[in-house]
Amino acid sequence: MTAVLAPLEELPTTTTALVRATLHAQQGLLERSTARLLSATLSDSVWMVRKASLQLHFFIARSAEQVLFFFARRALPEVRPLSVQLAVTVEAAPQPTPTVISEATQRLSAPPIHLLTVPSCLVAQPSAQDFAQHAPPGTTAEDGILFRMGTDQRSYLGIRHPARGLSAQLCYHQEGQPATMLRGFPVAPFLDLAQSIRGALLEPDDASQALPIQLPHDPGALSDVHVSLFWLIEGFRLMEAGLMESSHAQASPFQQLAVRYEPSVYQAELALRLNQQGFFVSDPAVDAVSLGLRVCVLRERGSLLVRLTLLPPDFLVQGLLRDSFLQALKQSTPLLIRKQLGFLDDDAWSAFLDSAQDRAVIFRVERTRSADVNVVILSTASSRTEGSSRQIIVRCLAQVDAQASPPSVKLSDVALRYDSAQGTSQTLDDETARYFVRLASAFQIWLRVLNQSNE
Amino acid sequence: MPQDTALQTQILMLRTELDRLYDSAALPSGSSFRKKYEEVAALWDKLRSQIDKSNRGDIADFFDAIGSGVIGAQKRLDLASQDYVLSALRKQAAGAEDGSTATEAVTPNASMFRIPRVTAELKCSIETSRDKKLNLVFYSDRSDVKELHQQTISLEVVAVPVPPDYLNQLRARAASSGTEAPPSDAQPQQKSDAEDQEPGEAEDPPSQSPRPQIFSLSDSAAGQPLALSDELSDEPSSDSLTEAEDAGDDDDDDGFAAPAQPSRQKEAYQKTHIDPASDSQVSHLIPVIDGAGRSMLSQTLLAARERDEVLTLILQLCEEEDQQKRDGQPDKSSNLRAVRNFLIPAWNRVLLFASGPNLRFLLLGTTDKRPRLFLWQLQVQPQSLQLLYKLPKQKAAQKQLRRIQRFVEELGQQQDITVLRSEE
Repeated sequence: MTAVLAPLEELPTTTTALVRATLHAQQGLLERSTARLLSATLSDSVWMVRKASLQLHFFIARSAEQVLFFFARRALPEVRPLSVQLAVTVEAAPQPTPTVISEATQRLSAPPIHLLTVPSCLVAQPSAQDFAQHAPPGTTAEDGILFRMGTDQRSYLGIRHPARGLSAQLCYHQEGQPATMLRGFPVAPFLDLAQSIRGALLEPDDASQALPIQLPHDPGALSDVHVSLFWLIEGFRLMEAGLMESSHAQASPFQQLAVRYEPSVYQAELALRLNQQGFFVSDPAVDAVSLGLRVCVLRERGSLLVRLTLLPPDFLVQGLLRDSFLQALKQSTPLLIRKQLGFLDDDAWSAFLDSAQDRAVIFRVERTRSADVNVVILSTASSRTEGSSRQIIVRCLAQVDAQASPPSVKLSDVALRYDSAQGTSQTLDDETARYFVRLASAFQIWLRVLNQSNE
Repeated sequence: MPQDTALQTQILMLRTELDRLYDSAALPSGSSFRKKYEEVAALWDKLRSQIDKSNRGDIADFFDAIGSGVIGAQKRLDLASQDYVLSALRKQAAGAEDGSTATEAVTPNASMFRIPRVTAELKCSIETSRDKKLNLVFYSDRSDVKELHQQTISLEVVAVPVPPDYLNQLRARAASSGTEAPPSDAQPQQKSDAEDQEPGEAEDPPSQSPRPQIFSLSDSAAGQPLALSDELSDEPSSDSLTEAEDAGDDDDDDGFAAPAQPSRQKEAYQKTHIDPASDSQVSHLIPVIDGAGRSMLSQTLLAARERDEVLTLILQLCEEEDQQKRDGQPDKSSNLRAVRNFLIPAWNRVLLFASGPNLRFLLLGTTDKRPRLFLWQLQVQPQSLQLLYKLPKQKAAQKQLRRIQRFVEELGQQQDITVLRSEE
């Protein structure tokens, strides 16, 4: 499978090319500026490159006959889940002291420190006691996963065998009350989970949640995820090495104006599909888990840090695309559904959507050839004026043009899946329930893949 | 008829080779066909790579272009700023002459303008070539934009103040290495007093340039080659003039063969010491000369009546030259061209010295159009006018000596005014 990653091996070449181009531009600017200093009557400044940035969006997959890296001649939907968005910035930095330079040179070759951050609603390293307390009996780290939910984080949802889909075992436990084994998929815990994920995505990464991990040393144990990480980190390291080399070889005429550059931003967001062993799956027919991975490489106090953050895929909690979805929902919801909900009046429907806008969550549960199947959770907070809170779950087909500005969304087949006004003892529809267990399975597999050498 | 482009030539070669391949295709198993086939294939590959290359550019080229653009734009801004400041100053000067309030005409914050920051962003596709370059692929049509991934490259360039001593070091290094500063886009003739009062420039140390240093500006200038001399031969040889003119044409000539320095005149000139520290001191120099330097200058500076006599003599010389031309005689006094062009039009700015009863020196500094400095020697009997020195046409030298030029110019004006008043 390593051959699949061949395009990623070119990444260090790309990043070092950015460094070289930046240094070359800086040298040229200094030369021209200095010439102007000598020739112009009034000149007390020179021009320098403050920063150079590169934002790359590329696929890391290949079909049987063609490698797709920086560009694809044909739209290949099957490789969409295997893509990377990388932001790189090289920026001028203050000159360090010689001691710091010496230390930095020594540390260049030191192995990186990997820190994994998971959404705060996910218990990254649950103990056996945690599982015993909050998960179905017999759950272990091998077969189960534990979510911590609610604003006070005192509710737990334990899932055993999430890979089994709707046959997974569920346990819901609110502290102070006995744990309950769930039959079916009652709506309340999953609405709680959705809001907890939303909160986790909107919050900045909590460093205290960071979990130190190590990549396997045995090449045979490397999965595609590990190899991808290796090349991403290598892209950063070679940039640093190039910059360090240039600072040593600074041309003497401009020694006094020498500027040190360093990578200030190096962040990649990977959308990947994995099998159970952590290898990429590009074939949509093959069962696989999708998850986002944010990789941020930086040097902190001389150490190379790689911050990894797991992200739920296709989970919209803010942004223009989500706004377009809600706008489309305002216009495309059939009157029949609005009648069921009690919002026949346009203004009432708009008012409800407006009040639900802040907490609205949209996620894609399936993708067809022509459209995406999306679920929208609309949730209003309880207030004195509008009474108790209300949650609505809507399922719809969406045709999305994300390239348009603002993104364009066309909805069809809008269907009501849940309305809290009809009673709270309802269960999730299978499609939505399947999404949640698949997400739990994805988290479990990714945690296992990334954390396997710690086990 | 326009010549073929490289691409057309390439295609023409390919066509020719294809014809030959066609001819040899009668025997496809033959070695000549295989050979020709490989040649055609190689040509085709070359053509394809050439066409591909035309749609690509190195990312370093893009960055370079941004840098060049910024510097070029700033140079143009420099010129525009100079025009702006000059126009404001002219208005100020005109206002002052009219008796109006100068501040009404001048922009209070008249200043040079600088581009502080430039950010360039390019949307393109990127490929990594075999030579480890990052190449940009430019979209050739709208459909490419949809098919290719749009990558974004951006570059931010900022203006950074130069360390205070760096500029001086740079100029000293350039001077000591004998390299000429790159040609400036700035127009020296547009320089104003206000521009030259730039603090950084005012504090510039005296140049270490090996170029001719005609005027001694300090007591330590004993070795300087000039020039105002009683001992100067009353009839300077034609060689000395030739050498002087040559010196004006030779950038690197530091051995301007002026006559040995006369002690008395040199001393007299050194008393009119110019502190190059600031142009603002120029106006204070005039009273100094009027005071401490009066006794010496009064011996040599010509009075108004004598100035008129000198002018009459010069005009006579010009008239004689004109007459000779009309008579068809060969032109032997081409050095009068500078007299006609500069000396006579700027007569009220000429500094006139007498050196004995038969010798006059005429020193003219002008900043019209471009800075110029001339020194003539006029012999009364027999009449002759020789150009002893003119400032070489070097922008760097002109810049360095601009203060002296202005000083001489003002000194000349002052003399003209002073003698006129004394006559009154």
